[in-house]
Amino acid sequence: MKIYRTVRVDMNIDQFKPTLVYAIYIKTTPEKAWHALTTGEVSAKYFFGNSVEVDERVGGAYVLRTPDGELHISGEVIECERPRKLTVTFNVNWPALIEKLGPTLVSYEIEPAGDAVKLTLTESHDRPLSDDILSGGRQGWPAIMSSLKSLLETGEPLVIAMAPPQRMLDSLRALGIAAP
Amino acid sequence: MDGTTTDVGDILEADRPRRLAYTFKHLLREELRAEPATRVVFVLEPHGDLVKLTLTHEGFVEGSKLLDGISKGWPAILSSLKSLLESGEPLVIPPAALDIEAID
Repeated sequence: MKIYRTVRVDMNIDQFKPTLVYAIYIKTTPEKAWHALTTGEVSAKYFFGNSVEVDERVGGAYVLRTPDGELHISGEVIECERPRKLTVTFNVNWPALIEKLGPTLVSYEIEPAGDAVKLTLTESHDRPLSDDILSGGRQGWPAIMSSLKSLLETGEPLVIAMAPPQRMLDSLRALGIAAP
Repeated sequence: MDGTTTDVGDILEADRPRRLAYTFKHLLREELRAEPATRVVFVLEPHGDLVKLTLTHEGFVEGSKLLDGISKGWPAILSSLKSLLESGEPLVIPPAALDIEAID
């Protein structure tokens, strides 16, 4: 098991500006949607194989691990109101990334809508970032949310082969961030 | 559901099955009718055995009231389309759940 450390970043949530808002309606219950967003065996099916671990309390750790157990995302729970709202810091574990780009904030909001739920994902940052940097989230999140919807509605996730956008990797390297 | 025309437009591009663009002019609601026509673009891209559908709706005036309804309506429509194509059943989303200001 890898040892990880959650870095607490001094931050004011109000400084963060949304760079991506993605809303999707899913035929499921708020509790099942919450379960899917916070359970490793489920997230591994729709989140490019990554397993989530969440300590569901403010200040608790939020972690995503790759299929081989490597730490991919590390963060901290900022807001936790089961089964309505989960806000976490969501920092990609690439050397120098957080120093150069600052923290990423990710929020999931779940609202009932008839016999479905509206799931709204918001990605926010505390400083302006280029479209090249933001292209990773813009490419990845719709795939993840689409696969989650398929999984909850049909029992089968989508199989989406996807590499990080080249323009993002080039831009990260130019900033001195060692992207794999 | 009574056959009333709510929106009209002209086809700008039709490249089946890859791209569809049209103008979009709202007719139904008095307070929104004055806003100029906007532009809708659908792009369909194969992705393995899946399709990536990208919708862009642009050309809203500053302070557009139509934009609120459009922003809340499309996610519901596209979500229901995905359910219909994958499971054979659309979603039933009550209009009130959309929380659109222009719908009382």
